[in-house]
Amino acid sequence: MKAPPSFDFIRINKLNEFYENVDRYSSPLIISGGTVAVLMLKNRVIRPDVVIDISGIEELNVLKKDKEKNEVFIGSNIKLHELKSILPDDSASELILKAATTVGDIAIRSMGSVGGNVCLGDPGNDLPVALAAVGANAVVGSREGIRTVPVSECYVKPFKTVLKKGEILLGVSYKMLYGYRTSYNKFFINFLDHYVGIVAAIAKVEGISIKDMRMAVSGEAIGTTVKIDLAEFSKIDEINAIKDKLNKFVNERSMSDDRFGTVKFKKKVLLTLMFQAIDEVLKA
Amino acid sequence: MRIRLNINGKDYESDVEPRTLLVDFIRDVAGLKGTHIGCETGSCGACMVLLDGKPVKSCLMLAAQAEGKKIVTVEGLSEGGKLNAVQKSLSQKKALQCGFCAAGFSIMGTWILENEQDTDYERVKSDLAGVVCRCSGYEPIINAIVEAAKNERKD
Amino acid sequence: MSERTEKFFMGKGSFVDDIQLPNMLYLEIVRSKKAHAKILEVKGGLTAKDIPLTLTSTGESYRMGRNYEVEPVFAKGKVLYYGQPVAAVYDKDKYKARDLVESVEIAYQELKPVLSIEESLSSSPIHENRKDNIVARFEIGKRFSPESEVKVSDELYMERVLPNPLETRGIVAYYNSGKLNVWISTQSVYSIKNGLSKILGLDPAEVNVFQADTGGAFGSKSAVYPEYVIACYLSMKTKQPVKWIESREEHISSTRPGRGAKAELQLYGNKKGKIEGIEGKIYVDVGAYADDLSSTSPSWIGYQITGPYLIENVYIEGYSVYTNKSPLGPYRGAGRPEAAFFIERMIDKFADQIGMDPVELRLKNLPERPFQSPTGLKVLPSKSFFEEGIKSINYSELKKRNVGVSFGILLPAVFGGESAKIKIDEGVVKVWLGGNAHWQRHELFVKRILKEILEVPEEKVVLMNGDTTELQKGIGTWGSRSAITAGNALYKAAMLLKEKAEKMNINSVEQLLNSDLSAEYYENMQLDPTMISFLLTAAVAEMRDGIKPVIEEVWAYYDVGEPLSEEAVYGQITGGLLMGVQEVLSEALIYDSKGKPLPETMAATGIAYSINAPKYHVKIKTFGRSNTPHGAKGVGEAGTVGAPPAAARAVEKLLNKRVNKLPLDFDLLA
Ligand SMILES: Cc1cc2nc3c(=O)[nH]c(=O)nc-3n(C[C@H](O)[C@H](O)[C@H](O)COP(=O)(O)OP(=O)(O)OC[C@H]3O[C@@H](n4cnc5c(N)ncnc54)[C@H](O)[C@@H]3O)c2cc1C
Ligand code: FES
Ligand code: FES
Repeated sequence: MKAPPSFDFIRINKLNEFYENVDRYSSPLIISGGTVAVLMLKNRVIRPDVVIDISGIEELNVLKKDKEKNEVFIGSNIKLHELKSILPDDSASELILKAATTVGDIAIRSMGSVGGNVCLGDPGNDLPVALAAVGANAVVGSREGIRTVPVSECYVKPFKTVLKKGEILLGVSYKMLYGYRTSYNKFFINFLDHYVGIVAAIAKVEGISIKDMRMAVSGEAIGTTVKIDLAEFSKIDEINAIKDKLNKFVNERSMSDDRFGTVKFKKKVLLTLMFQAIDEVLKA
Repeated sequence: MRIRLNINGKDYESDVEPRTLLVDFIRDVAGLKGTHIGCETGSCGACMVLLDGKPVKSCLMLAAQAEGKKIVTVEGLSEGGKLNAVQKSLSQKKALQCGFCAAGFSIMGTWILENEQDTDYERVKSDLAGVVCRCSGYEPIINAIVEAAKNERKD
Repeated sequence: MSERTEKFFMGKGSFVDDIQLPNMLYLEIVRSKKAHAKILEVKGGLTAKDIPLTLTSTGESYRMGRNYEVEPVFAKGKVLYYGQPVAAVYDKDKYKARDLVESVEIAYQELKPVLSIEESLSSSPIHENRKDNIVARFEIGKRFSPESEVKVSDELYMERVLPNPLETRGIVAYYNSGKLNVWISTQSVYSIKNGLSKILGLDPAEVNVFQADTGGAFGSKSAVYPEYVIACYLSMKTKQPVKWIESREEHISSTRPGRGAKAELQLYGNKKGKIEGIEGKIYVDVGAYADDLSSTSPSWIGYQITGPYLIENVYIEGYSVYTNKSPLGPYRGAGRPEAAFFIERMIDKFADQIGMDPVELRLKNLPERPFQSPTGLKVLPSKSFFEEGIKSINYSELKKRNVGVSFGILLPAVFGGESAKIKIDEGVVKVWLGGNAHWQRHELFVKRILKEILEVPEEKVVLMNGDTTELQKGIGTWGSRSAITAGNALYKAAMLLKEKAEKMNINSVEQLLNSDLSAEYYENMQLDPTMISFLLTAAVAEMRDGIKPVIEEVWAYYDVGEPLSEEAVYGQITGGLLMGVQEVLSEALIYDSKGKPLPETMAATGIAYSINAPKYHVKIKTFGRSNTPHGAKGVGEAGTVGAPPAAARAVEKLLNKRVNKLPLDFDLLA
């Protein structure tokens, strides 16, 4: 049987209560939806002295739209299934929504929060890829104040993020983008229940010129969320050069043959997904 | 710690360890055995319940997380001993074999009937993606839910 | 409406984990974290010192007097697979019991694990008392000297697959006033009773076994496992009820998986597509310990290697071998899918080699008259069945897509026969079958048979769970046998009851229901060619998202004899088809280089979800009745026999690369 080890449990309703409490323990664990956190507890891979349920913090359960700054802030506690009805209809939000609706199944999306999806650091997580592609920032709070980190720079290695003890993700923010095409693709294998590759792309094309184009990838083949810089390309007829660059990117990644497949297979998957994404966002 | 949960409209209160899983509270404290444990890791949906109307996997939640919310288990779907539309359809069409997945599919099916605009085959098939049935090959279950939705519309 | 499922919707099922007794103890097993190691020391818990017992062989295909290594209840001196029970702990609180697992300390000295059939053949024996890792060797058919125009060679492999019923294994044992009472999720209360009494040295009269509602089995719930013995022992020692419920993680590491079979085959024929002979070797990886079923598995596969075909020359050498993996058990089909996969994949290759349509080639090799294979298998002619089927699935159109077709047979495991008991009790007709029910179809055929013979209305008939106190003798539910064997016994028990009623001048249903008549019947049975059903399966593969092969559609044109209930047969077939397809695409139990299972969750074992289900086209056919009063044939395992070779061929066409290994090697996509 799987059962968590013993711990204290506290439920927090205010952000400052969180800061007050978190320092009183040596190994606190934040849970929001709890899907993965509870699973890790049941597997006893973590043994926190306290589990802090933050799902009641209303300040983190908001979506803010700042018209002036053209910015959206999604609070950490928002559940994945809620995004559909609250996100604005710009292109960046569209890509984020595409990612969110492919997470797990309906139950996981009802339970799972945005914060949990961003903070876990599993290469199979969806939101980070879309967020990195649109250039979103993680808004991190602590007793000392608030800092922002680009989502693409949040991941150190699988299951390791830049968040420190005492810090909490307040939410993510990004600029709204209009008139872009978006693409979100992933390759899932039932055996070992994993995503070999995940690719998110977004581009603005006018006539034959590419005004803006961004891409991010993740999945077991890559290990963490990585942003790929495609700013140098300005014409859609450079598609072969773009693909060459992607080819080079994939070939230069260090990969190894492992349980998730051979290097040859992983590269094939990543390139297929990336080329598909490019074709989708650049097609007239 | 003292935990009070509202399950199928009734309050259950008990002194349990903070680590108590929601599924264990439902089965062992409230004594409602219709919610099952199939995988313990969110893979199978045998433990599915509605939490404030949303389907959740009760093996991946602490009981403490569910305080103040309304929980509906498979037992709560059949009012006064009468099966609801989805359950009736699953039963009439003999969609299940061993029956261990009955809770998961009745909870999800009920949620689908109440929340989905389209209830065609493909939609139901993809909505059921988190519930495992090892016996049926799924088609009989999907058909039974599609059929229940159709009948519901007619009424 | 079916009462059996209705109770599950009301939460009124009684699965083994639902059973709650006063003062119950929860048992947890401490398992080996090494695949092969010397145990230097165990601190804490119950161990082999407390329970120095060894399992005996019971369950599916039980035979006496074999020479193989049987699993001890607890590892003694050495652990031979990851997940092997080393110690046990218990508490009256189930979370505390789980905590206690961590209090047991085991010191190991690691040894190099033997993890494949190839390694097994070349490594020193994992059992020190043996000279090599071969469990048993078989010769099937007769040596012949091939003089054919065409020779087709290949090496084929089917990976291990877990049964993964949605409900894991579990037991409640309560030793009370001189009786050991056992409630268990099982395919056979009799193999549990016989096994437990033998292993524990109890008089069978002291052991009562009651079947709890059983949430699927697929082969995993027929044998006696170490945990059952430990639970009983603990209850006998403490005089308290003891519950053990398997976790999915334990299911993955320690419940017996199936398959794990390899073949090196040569098929001989002429350029016109006539198959002239087949020879080669079949190996089965039985894991660390063997039982009757696993040790003889290569010979059972070899026995049916000729399928529905007329193949005059057959010579197969079979080997079962030990490895440092969990012991092998039956998985839905148990040997039948292996035989079908091996012969069908060879036939496709033969067709490709001579440039002939694989279906045409198959039709050409079906016998015109009853045929006895050199292996001993007798099959009836089936050409008209398959020709009709080919038309029915519209093969001439399907051929334009990436289609795979398989022809197959389904041998029901009727050996041992079966028993049934009918008892009229306060207006209700209660039925017990020796092969106890764990799914609806039993209930449906029981109602139908009793309606036919006794004219009792369906709602008055209740199929009871297996119970050794009600029906003393019985066999079990496996190997597509129940409809034939239990159906036969029930039919005859009903005839007996009818006779009794007539003698007593009972001539209306009301009078019958008011009586307290009962009747019991047991009959042994032998496999008869009329009981063998024929299976035509087709699958179409497509590429999704430019890179992912999927099976889009599956056709099953299956002979089930006289169907006892079409609706329920249908779900059996679709269920089996999906498992068969998934075995090709992703379902498997694979180990890392140290012998630890790679999947950690149920999802990770690669099982199918709703979104993986293909579109099914199922036709249920009666191609002759079986030689039983009700004419039924088997069906339970049909889909797992037919689907893998058809789906593998479909993917092969799609990728234009040979598929000879299951699950699909994703490197083929690169
Ligand atoms: C069956 C199953 C399928 C899944 N499928 C997918 C999938 O397809 N795609 C996918 O992306 N994910 C998937 N997940 C993972 C997970 O459920 C989701 O990522 C979900 O969004 C996590 O949210 P949560 O609120 O449940 O996180 P929790 O479990 O509460 O937390 C996850 C982690 O984030 C930390 N955390 C949570 N909130 C904060 C915060 N505000 N600040 C700092 N740290 C925080 C926690 O400490 C913990 O380490 C799956 C999980 C399961 C069990
Ligand atoms: S037991 Fe909860 S999802 Fe399987
Ligand atoms: S009927 Fe057995 S798992 Fe669904």
